[in-house]
Amino acid sequence: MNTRTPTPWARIAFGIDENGGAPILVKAIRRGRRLTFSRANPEELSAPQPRAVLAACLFQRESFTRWLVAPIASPRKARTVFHSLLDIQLPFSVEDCQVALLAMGPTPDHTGTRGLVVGARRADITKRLESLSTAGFDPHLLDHEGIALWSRGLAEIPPIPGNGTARILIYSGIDRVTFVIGQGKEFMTAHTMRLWDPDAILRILKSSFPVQPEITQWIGSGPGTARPGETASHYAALMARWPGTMKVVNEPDAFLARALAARALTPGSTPCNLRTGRFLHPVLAEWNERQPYRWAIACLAAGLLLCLVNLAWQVAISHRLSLAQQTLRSLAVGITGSPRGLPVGQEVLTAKRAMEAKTRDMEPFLTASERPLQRLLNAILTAAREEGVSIETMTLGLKNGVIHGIAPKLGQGEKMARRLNGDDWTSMIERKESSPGDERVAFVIGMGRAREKK
Amino acid sequence: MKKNKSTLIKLWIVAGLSLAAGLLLTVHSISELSRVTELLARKAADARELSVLRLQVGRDQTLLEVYSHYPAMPTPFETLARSTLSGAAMTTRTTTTLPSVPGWIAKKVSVDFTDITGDDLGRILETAGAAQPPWGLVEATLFASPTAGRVAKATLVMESAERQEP
Repeated sequence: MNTRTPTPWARIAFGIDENGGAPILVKAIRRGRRLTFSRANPEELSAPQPRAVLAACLFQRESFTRWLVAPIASPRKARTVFHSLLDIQLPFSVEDCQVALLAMGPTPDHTGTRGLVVGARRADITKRLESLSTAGFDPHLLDHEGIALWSRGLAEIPPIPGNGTARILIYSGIDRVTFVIGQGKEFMTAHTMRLWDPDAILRILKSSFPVQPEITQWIGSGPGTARPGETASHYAALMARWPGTMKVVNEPDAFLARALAARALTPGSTPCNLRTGRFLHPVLAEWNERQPYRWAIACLAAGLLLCLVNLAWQVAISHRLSLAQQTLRSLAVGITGSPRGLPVGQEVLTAKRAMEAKTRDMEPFLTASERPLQRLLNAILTAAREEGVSIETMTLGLKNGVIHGIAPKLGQGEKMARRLNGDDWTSMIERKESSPGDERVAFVIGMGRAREKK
Repeated sequence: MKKNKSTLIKLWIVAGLSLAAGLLLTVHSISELSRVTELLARKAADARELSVLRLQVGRDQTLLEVYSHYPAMPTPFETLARSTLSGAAMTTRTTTTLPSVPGWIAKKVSVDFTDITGDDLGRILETAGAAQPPWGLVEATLFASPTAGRVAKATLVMESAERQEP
């Protein structure tokens, strides 16, 4: 399930990791679907950039994540009970918290609905925003540290295929160690501690995985990972007791800042902004306020575009019809010789009538120049001579003809009739009674013009 | 705030109207599509049919143009027949004139030949066809002769065109 980012208009995002007072700033630029990252200076934020956003995060220690399970299959109904379920689980009132539901789906047995909720106390959000403001930052988005680390980890180091693969991402910072536990692609939980404590990490791991999975993927990140000796020994100690593969992300010190910048620009399965409600950044508030105007203008533009396209289509069609009509009319005038008496839609009929009259008048010319009957007469006489047929009488006209003949065998007459069949004429032979005492076969060949030769 | 809201409502009304108009026009265009396609196809078929007729008109005009270079009156068929067959038994039965295209009349002549060979008949028709303007055979009736290669009686109806001088 890909959801829009809270700032879909942004093309540039700055992600900030405060890193114990030495802030790390990463700038991400979106070009189509691609993101490019670069290190940035805080001065860059002071320059006005209308399509840029700044994303910071609430640390794991000042926020919480919970997977809630409602025994209701309908996600819509389950959503209404998550609030109460969360209230039961929290040691403080949920009314004092800013909460976001990041993901929701059916339970494995499809009888209930589970949802991933993140949140923080409003007092902590206020403190966090004040701390950022003191450092000179006014973030548009307040993401969640653990969720940001997990989602960026998936993007940069894909999980090892296989069911039940444990995946532990450790962020080793200057002032804290945060580790996120998941299975395959699914986030499970996130924890933080001030100092490296392998025992505590293993204890939490054992509570998350009562049976140690066959494959465990360890991922290292954070500025502390750059200190090879110290951190390497910590990882070695962990992996000796919980074996698995180990990978360190590229540029581990900027990993959290990169994660925050990337999440501000790309739609994903767990977009998160806890700076909402009364904490909402003025820029986002203004953008939200203008949203109904944008929709109205988009509808107006779509309506106008539809009108324009349809009108253009109507004009094009009527132009095409008028051209076709003009062509018909000019052809018909060329045949009838006059534009008068040519009603629209009757061009062919009128032209055909005019042609019939013209053809009648042209008959003497056509008959004399094409000589169809002369050719037929020659063909009959030649066929009769070659087939040994005697013609007794013959009457030929321009449209039909009859030949009375005698042949020693009917086959000769039939052969002659076949020879007279052609493009212009068709013929049929019929046997007749011969004169008494005559052994020859009498026949009649009837002929007709196959098609009117104009 | 109130002013903003009323502006937004007005904007939505205009947007809704324009969208409705666009959708109505689209529905109208879609419903018109099959009728227009059919109409265009019919007009194209008509144009093809008329083009064929126009070609025929062109051919007729070319033929008239050729005839306009011939002498106005055709050589009488009897003269042509006699020049081909000296001493043939020949009787002209009828000569008629019929209306033709403007400026021309059709001339028809019916001639009987008795005891004539088939070859001679062919030569007469060949000569008549080569004349300027030519004569064309319109009807032929032949009765066989007991003598091989001869025709006891042949009636030929010939036709030619005569130009009417203005």
